[in-house]
Amino acid sequence: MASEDLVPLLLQAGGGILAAFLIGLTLLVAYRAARAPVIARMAARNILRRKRRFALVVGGLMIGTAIIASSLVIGDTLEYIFVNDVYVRLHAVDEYVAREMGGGLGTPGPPVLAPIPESTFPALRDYLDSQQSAVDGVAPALMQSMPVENLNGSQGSPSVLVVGYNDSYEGAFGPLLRRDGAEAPLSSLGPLEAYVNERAGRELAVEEGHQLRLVFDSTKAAGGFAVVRVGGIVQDWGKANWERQPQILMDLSEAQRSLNYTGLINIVRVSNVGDVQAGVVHSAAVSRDLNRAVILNQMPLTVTEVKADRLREAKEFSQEVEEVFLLMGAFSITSGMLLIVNVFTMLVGERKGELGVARAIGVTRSQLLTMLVAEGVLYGLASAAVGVLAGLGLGFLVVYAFGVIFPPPEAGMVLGFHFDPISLVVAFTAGLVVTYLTVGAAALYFSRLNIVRAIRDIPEPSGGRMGWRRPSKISQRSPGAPPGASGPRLP
Amino acid sequence: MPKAMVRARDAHKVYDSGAVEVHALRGVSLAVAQGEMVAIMGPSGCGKTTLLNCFSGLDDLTSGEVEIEGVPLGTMNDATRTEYRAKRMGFIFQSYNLIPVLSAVENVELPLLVSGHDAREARKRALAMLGLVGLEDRVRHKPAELSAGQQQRVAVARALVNTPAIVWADEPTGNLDSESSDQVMGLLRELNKKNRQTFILVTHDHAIGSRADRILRMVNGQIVDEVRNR
Repeated sequence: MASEDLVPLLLQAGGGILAAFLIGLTLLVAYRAARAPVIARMAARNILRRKRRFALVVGGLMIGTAIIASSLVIGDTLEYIFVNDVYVRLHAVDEYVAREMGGGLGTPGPPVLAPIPESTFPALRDYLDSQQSAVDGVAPALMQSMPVENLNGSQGSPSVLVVGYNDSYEGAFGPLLRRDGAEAPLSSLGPLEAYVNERAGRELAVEEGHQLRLVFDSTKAAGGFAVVRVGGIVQDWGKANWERQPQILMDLSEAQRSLNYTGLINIVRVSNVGDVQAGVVHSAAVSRDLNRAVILNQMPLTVTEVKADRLREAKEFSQEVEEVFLLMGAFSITSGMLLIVNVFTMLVGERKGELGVARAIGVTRSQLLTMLVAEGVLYGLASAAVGVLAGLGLGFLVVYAFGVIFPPPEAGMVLGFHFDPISLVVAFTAGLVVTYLTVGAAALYFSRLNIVRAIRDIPEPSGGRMGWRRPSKISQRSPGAPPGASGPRLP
Repeated sequence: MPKAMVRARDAHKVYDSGAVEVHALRGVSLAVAQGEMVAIMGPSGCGKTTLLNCFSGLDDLTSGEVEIEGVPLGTMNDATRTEYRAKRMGFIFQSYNLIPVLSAVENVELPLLVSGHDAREARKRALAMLGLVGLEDRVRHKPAELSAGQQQRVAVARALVNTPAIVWADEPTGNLDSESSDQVMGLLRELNKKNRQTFILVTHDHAIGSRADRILRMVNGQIVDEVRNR
């Protein structure tokens, strides 16, 4: 197993163990409190007798949880935005096979694709069929970016993606849709006619019937260009929203003729079984089959698991942002922990006298510890719950502010707030851990108090720890009694 | 010959705060028989409360030996001492020290509950004890809602509710008026006689001291005199 697979698994296992420990501890405290209701009563009433202070303490305690929760939900939102963007850009395409000449992942704009024989497509399709690959669509296409000019206006664009599809193979990749929602089959286009997506329509100020000049080879002295008529405007949706590019969409054979690509394509797109989001689970297996097909047919082509790669990038990026927020919040979380220790120590220290009396009249150390930990549990649960809500609110504000300050990089990209409920559970658990650790340490300290010093409110001797020093134990032992003897049976 | 409930031999207690060393008990030896009421009297700072704390097991001696019902305190671990305190001892503190979040009856029943008594039985006994100290109409009041004298009587009730074999009392009537003081001492004396409970009282009040079987006078950490009243 690769280390990058092991780390998340270990984290999940660790998180699971931690959650189980917290639940177990909470239940244990609840059980012990239930067995000694007077102890539970004392714990609950000690909290409720000073409601304003309770609110203050919870307010302080919840800071850590709020920071963790807000960091996680910001990460969730970014992941949602970027992951969603992948699905919008690629739609049903899970893999593609092409010969890339430059550009691609990590560089702006779509990759530049070299021409490949059209026979590549049936060879790949047939091989996938023979292997019964988890594929529901394989289709050839011709995609080229080029300058386009609207001959019916003065608008032009230096880069518009001209795409040729063969509708016979496009079933799995979804239809083109007109603005009124009706399907726009390529077969309804006449010769030298094309659809234009909304984005291109805006850039080129195009209407139906306009003429567009496609300049596909500006290096030629005579100029390589074609003129097409706009047969309709289609929605920026599905394959018409490929890479969020302005597009001109036409029948493959028309595109091949117009762009001097007869007998050539430059990409074979593959859609896996399952919908736009589910298909990616088959990517590894399908790309293995595609690679075998490419090798067997000796094709100088590259198989790209485009959707899986982009999703991984999106998740890694959002995780990095999440970690930055967590790191920035780590100092506050640490300060919060120190605050909790001080506050809880002060709260319990105020009651040293009554704790000493309780011990004097027969409350055991472990009952006292249960009482103090029960108070801590109540503080922890309240502060973790409030912290999660506060974190949600804080995360929402940050995302909102981000959206106002930094407009979305792409038209149509929505910076919407989103969170994964698991993140809230993680934040709640982390908040509980912080409180339990700090409260537990303080509770353990006070459960071992010296009874007389507590009742008389005398400070502990410097360097001494409560209850640990038992001077001259030997001199208190009766002659003949073994050391550490547990004592007599009570009359 | 009645058995010795409390026996101490050459008990020393030194408080060492680092800068100052205070020798609070200097070789105290005593024996208190079962059913005896002993008053410990002396000037402030002579070690009376220290004696009470150390001989009851609330604090440790620096050296020496204390036996409770024949068993050396030094052989008992914390859990055993705590259990013993819950079942066999009662404490009346100088500042009554009630638990502020519990009502009068809840304070009184606490020793019974922590020693494992049934909740209903504990409540019944607590109410009865509050009746004995004249607080039957204050049972649901919290300490903050009681006067000093009433709080002291609740503390007395708490100390007696588990019918302890030994009661350690530090100024048990310190905050009471003479009538209440007389009532409480009467109750202690009655229990002392009826149940043969042993009482060890620290007091400044000669009237209280004169009601004990014996007075032990302390000066500067030592017992210097003993007066038998009976």
